[in-house]
Amino acid sequence: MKAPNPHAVGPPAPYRFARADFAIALSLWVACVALLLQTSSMGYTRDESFYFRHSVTYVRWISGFLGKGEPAKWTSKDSVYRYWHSTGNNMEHPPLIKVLFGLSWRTFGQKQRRIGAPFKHGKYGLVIPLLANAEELGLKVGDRLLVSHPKPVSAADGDRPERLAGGTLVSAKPRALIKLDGDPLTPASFHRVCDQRIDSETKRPLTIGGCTAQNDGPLALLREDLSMRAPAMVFSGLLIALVFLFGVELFGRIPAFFGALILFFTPRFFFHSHLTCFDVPIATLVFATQYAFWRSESRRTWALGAAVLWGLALLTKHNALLVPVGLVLYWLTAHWREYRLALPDSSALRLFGPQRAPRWRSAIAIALGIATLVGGALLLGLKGAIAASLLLAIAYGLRLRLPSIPLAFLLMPPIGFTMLVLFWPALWYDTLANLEWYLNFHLKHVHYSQQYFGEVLGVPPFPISFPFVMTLTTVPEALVVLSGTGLALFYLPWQRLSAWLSRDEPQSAKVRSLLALVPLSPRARWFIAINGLIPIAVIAMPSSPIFGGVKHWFPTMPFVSLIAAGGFAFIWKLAERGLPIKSSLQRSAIALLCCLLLLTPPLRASLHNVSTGTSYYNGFLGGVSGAASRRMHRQFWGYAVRGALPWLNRRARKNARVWFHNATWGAITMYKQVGLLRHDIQNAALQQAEIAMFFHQRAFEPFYNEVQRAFGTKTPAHQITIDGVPVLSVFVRKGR
Amino acid sequence: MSHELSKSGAAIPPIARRLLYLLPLLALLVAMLYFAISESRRRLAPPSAAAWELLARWLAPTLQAGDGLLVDPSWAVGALHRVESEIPAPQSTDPDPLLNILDRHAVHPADLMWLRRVFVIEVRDFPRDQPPKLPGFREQELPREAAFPELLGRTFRLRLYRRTRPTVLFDFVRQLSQARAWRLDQHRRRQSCRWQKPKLACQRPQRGASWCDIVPVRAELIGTGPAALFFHMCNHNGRSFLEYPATPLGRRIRVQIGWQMFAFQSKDGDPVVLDVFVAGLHRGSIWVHPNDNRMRSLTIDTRSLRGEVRPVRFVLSGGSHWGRNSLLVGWVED
Repeated sequence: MKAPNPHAVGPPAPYRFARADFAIALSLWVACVALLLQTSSMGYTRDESFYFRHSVTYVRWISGFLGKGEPAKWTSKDSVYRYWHSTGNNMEHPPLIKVLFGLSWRTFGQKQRRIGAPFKHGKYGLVIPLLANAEELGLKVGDRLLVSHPKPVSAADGDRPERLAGGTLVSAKPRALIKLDGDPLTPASFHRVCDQRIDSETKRPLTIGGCTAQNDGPLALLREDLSMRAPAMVFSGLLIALVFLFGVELFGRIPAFFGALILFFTPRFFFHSHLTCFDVPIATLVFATQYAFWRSESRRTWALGAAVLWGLALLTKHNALLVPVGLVLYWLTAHWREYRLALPDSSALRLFGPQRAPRWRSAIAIALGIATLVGGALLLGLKGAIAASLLLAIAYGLRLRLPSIPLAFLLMPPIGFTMLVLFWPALWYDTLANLEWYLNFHLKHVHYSQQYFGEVLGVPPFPISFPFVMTLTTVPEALVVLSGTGLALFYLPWQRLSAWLSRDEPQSAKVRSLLALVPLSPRARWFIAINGLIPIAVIAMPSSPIFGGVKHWFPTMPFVSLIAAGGFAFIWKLAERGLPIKSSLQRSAIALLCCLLLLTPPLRASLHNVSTGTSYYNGFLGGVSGAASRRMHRQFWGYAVRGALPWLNRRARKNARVWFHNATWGAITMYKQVGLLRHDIQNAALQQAEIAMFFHQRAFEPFYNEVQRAFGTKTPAHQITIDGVPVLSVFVRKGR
Repeated sequence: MSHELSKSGAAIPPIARRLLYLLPLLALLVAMLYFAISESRRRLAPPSAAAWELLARWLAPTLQAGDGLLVDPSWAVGALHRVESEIPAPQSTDPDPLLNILDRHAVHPADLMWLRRVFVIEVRDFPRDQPPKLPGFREQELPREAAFPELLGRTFRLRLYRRTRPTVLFDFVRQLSQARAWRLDQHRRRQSCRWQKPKLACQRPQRGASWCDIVPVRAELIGTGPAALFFHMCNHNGRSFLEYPATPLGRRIRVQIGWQMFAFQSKDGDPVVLDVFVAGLHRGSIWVHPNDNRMRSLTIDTRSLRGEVRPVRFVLSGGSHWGRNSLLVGWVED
């Protein structure tokens, strides 16, 4: 019969949220998404431009698979490999988020494409051709479209072109044809109405391009780029809601509100929340899995939730593989009092005590043990020593009694990995080989150089301090101070310290009463510390790639925010003691006011830096300009070009050849599709270009000299700056 | 009695205790207010284009041959470039009237050898590091007529440095036109280089290959290094030779070599070795490894050859043909 473990603790009581908590969480979610949708003013990052393309490819396969055709054709190895496999189809990342980007684009995107000159069709009469693949855009015969006048170059970013006429798609294949209502465009009037307008004096185009057509349905709510970005925004809002709920459980409503919003208004997080990328969605799914696991400790049904959420995280990004490491370590440490080492009565190791073994048997056992350990260590090193220790433990009958294994641990591997293989077609064939390729891609990832206090970090070993210093210098100052307070409060051994400093009992009692102001269970402390530390610790390893900066350890940030919420709760509870106000409503109002005061600077910083988010540094480093003076990495990802597009649209001559430097072809295509860049502007190599963009990034320095030499000038014609620090210079070739 | 006794026995009135409890929150709010205000100030800090233009127009008649300009902080120099046309280049031996702070610790001596005066333009509200060190130069009072108008004085602060003693005898970067260069690929095939102002243009190993030249560059982006010679490693494991046939020798030859990152993915890269020969004798080597983040230095004592004019040869060996490029700096000190 199993002896009862005196240190075993029963499952914690489940926390019951009030309805108001869910209402606030939902409001936060909606408000965050709404704000993100309104502030998406940054250019398209390199990675986004790749995901734009792959999302469309994946959705094309999905619509084919779900369409009328034969599913077997779409699930054949040929088809799966064509759409999902290898680097050409971005197999380095699982598909879930890309599929969501694509589905959002298909459903909500206003896909604006150019149209050709009208002509008489034998069957449909006067029609205009849509210069795009209608099937790929998700258009089918009978869909309504909206044809617009050319958009002026002077129009603002969000302005829509003037409506010309409505129409219906009458044919999708082989050519997409639109029948306009009332035939307002004729072959005679087409060029007058729809050609790109040119200024007669300067000879520069006055419109972005010609007439365009876009899908016109009740769901076509978002501009094409925004529809691609929307899913990540939804995930960002969800993360804020989840942090709020966890915070409520730990510290109460107002600190939780503070913790959630200070995470949202961390300028770099706010920036990344807008992007068609994985970093924020994976942070959300990782945190959701961890929180579900936390809940599963008090209510077992959540174990299934943890398993499914982990499966979704695995389908999002490889960071998900670290989740079980944190959860297992937490389980091992939080329940350390429940371990038991047991020896059977017959064990040779029982040298002492009532059931003592004969001395000669013990001596032989010990000698054999030492020989095995030493032999193992000598022959196989550390691995050998570990293997030998395990062998000895088994041989001598050592038994380790563990605390009861959480149900989530039993469900997560089968459900998570099954979901990964089932919902990632790239793994349907040659599963192990493809899985190996996927893991190796990340284990042997290339490094992109970073600048860190003047040092170029191009190849490992990288400084261990990097992620910690970057966090301290890129999150709001209030977050640094309050998370520091929280860390000190929850993780310093105050009782021992106070006992050591003073033997005065009343003094110790005072410390205890102060600590009791914001109680946090040891279980919660372990949970936050371990799950928060692992993502950043992995990046701190000298060989880990660091090129993405803070985004690589976003899964740490919810826990940092929770600790800050605890810090805020403590400072507020202290202040409450000094407030000469009795009414709890008034006290809450003051707490909320303080919370909003503390959130105002991060909110301002987030909005101010939203277009150049990867350039942001906080006041500890003197802001963007202070960081530039200290030679910190100024930006990456080639998205600052968007700031120069209005200048380019106004100043470039017709058909101007432009070298876009670090901006990708996919990004340029999207700028044109959504009407941010003139259609006539051509992407050219530096030697052939008459206008060159240059991104101020340390790694690109030789290009700076090259541009200046090639263009015969050192003077940029235009610059994009943030707080005076240049991020993009535009050069015009001398004589142009 | 509601007053409590402190440990020292003094009574703490409730109002003081209350303030003590409120203090952390008040301190936090004040600190955040400070950061918010300083952030707002930073946003106002960048001088307008008009201010730069005004500065350029004011500087133009003041500049003489042998003057240099130096902007602090260095990243703000781009704004001065934008109004560069307002500053007519003075009749200087150096074609480039602009100097830049390229390293926060020191301006390169070889950069200064052509100059008699250096104007340091400090942008008042921008964060700066230590003041630049100008070896061989001493700060002087601005002449009365050169004093800044008040309008500019609010945005900029001007300092004037004048050279008190020469420090450099011969700068390998600016004397590139005197040099001969050639390359050997891994099969020991020779590719010749010839002077095409302002660089030594070398034969491409294959059609379409770029950057095989040896080019003087001024790295002015984020403070990387001084004016330097830019070597692209056109050949995998090739060798580049650069020889200055008539180099006046003095006390010391100082040579620095480092990487200028071309590729932003830098997993590749082999070490490069620089060998220095003076008057035909091998006088030293520098190894630059792929993960070296700083310039590596070598000092060669040539006091015994003072006053003599002899050939100095640099040989760069190894290195990947793409991904990383070498920057070479060298001068002979007087």
